[in-house]
Amino acid sequence: MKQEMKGLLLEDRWAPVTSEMGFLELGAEQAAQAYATWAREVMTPRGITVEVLPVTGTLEQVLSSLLPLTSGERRRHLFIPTHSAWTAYVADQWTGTDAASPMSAMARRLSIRGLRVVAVPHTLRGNQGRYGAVMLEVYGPEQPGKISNTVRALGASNDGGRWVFDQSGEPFPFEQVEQYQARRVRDRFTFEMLKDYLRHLGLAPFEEDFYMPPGSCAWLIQKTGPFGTILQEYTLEEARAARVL
Amino acid sequence: MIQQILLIRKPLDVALWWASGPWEDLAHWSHPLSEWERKYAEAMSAQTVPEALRMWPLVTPQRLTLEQREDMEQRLGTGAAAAEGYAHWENRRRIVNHYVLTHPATLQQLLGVYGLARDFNPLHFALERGWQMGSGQEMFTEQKVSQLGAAQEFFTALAVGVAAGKLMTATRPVPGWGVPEPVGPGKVEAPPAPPRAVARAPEPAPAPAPPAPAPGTLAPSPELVQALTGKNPTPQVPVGSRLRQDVTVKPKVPKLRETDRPISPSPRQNAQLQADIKYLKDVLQAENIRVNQQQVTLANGQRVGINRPDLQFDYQGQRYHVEYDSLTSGRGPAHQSRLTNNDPDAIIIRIIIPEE
Repeated sequence: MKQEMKGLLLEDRWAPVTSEMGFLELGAEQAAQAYATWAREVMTPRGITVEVLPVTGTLEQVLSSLLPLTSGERRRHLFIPTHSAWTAYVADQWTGTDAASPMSAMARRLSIRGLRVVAVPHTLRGNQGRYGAVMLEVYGPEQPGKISNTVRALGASNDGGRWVFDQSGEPFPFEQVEQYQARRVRDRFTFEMLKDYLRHLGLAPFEEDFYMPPGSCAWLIQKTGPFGTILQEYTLEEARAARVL
Repeated sequence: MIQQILLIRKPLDVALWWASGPWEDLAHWSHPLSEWERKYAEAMSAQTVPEALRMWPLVTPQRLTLEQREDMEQRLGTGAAAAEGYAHWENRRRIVNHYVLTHPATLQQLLGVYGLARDFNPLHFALERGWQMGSGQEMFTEQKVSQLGAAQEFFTALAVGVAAGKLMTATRPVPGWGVPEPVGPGKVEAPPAPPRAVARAPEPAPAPAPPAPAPGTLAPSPELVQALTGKNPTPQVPVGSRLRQDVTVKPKVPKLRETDRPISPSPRQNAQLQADIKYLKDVLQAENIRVNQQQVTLANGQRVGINRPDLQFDYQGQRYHVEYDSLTSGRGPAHQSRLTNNDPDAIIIRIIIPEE
C-alpha cells in the first residue's frame, strides 16, 4: 500500500533526517546560541563541550555537516535560517530527527512558538518501506495552570499497523475542521492540509529555496566529550537503506 | 475491567473509556479474563436471561470470524498465542458492549428517542394514540398506558393543529402589501447572503480527559528522579523468553505521537505522567519520548514488541520504560518482565500512584 506525497523537501533525498523537522520563531544564530546555553547547563557537568559553528553553502551542503549520522546520544544539531521569522532544526539521529522534545522545551524556555513538522509517505510493503505520518505540533510559552505547553497538535499516522488521528488544543481559524470527520483516518489530516496550515503560519518548509537566504549561514551545535554509550555511525545511504527504502 | 466499569459506572463514560484506551490498546487487554469478567459473562449469557438482554456467548480462538482474524493479524500478529489474546480482548469488548447497551440509562434514552421519532410524524402519532386508546398498551414496547391520557393527547394535538391552521390562514401575506413577491429566475439578482458564521464541525469523540490535580504543585515522580540518578528503586528482573507476538513484530518504527494523550482513566496518573514528561524534556533534555506506543529501542532503533509501555524515552544514551500502576493493580510485574524480555538493555521504572 503506497501513499503518494509529492513535493517533499529535496524530493525526500534527505529522509529520514528531514522527515521530521523542528522550527523556532527566532533568528538562526539566536536560536543556536540559546540552545547551546541550555545544552551546556546539562552537558558541562558531564565533561562534554558544546560548540556553536557557522556553516555556509546550499541547503544540502549545510545538511551534510550533520554527517555521519549516529546512534545513541545526539552529537550534532543544526539550526538553518529561512526566508521567514522561523529557524529550522534538524539533528544527527540515524533514524531521523526528534523535534518534539527540543522544540517544546525551547518554546517554553524562550517564551516563543515552536513547531514539530512530520511528513512521511506510507510506503510499507512487507518488511520494506515506512509507516506513514503527517503531523503538526505547535508549542508555546509556559501557560499558568497548565503542565503541557502544546498549543495545538494534529496528526494522522500509521501507528504500527493501524491508522490513528490525534488532535489536542484549540483549532486555528484557518483549519479545515470538517476534514477531521473523513471516513478514512489517513484523510483526516493530509500532506496538502499540512502545507496549507504551515503557509498560514508563515512557512514553506518543503521548498528548498525557503532555506538559506543569500548571505546567511546555518549554525551547527557540536558536542564532544565522554559520551557513555558506544557510538555507531551511519552514512546517509546506510540510514536510508535501513529506514527509508 | 470490571473494576473500571464499577469505577466509571455511567454507560456513556464506560463507552468513551473503552474507545480511548482498550479498544486501541489491544495488547494491554489480551490477557486471560479475570474471575469477575468470567462470572459477568457467564451470568449474562445464561439461558435464564431474557433473550433481548442476553449477552453473546464468549468467543474462542477457533471461532474468530475472517474479519476478526484479519484485524488480529494486523494488530497482534499470527499464531495460536495471538488468536488466544485476541479472543480475550474480543470477550472484553462484548462485556463492555453488553454493559453499555443494556444499562437502564441507555434503554431509557433509546425509549425517549423512539417516542420522539414516533410522534414526529402526525400519521404515526394519530395511529399510535388510536391504538393506545383501544388497547391500553404502547404499540411497540407493549408498556401499559392510560387510555384516557392517550385520548387527551390525541384531541389536544388535533385542537392545536386546527387552531394553527386557522391562524396561518388569517395572517397569510397579501401580494402587493409591502411584501416583495418571489423573484423569478434571471429577473432580479438576489441580494448577497449575509456572511455566515461557519459552524465548526463536531470533533471526533474526545478521549475522556479527566480533570487533573493542580499542576503547579506537581513534582516529578521520586521513583523517576532516583532512577535517573542511578538509584532505581525498581529492582530489575532477569531476562526471560519473549512472547510470540513480540518476536514476530515488524522492526519498523512508527512515528512518535503527541505526548499529551492519557494513559489511564485516573486523573492523578495522567497529571503525574505530564509532570514527568516536562521534567524529562526541560531539565534533562531526554529525547524520543513516547506515550502509550509500542515498545521501541534506543534512538527509535527498532520496534521490539506490541506491548505499550505508559512512557518510554532516551536519556544519556539509555532507553527507559516507565509503567504507572495503582497499589491494587497486579499487572506491574508482568509488564516489567515483558519489557525486559523484549529489550534486555533497557531500564524499567515502576511508579505507584496512590488511588484517589
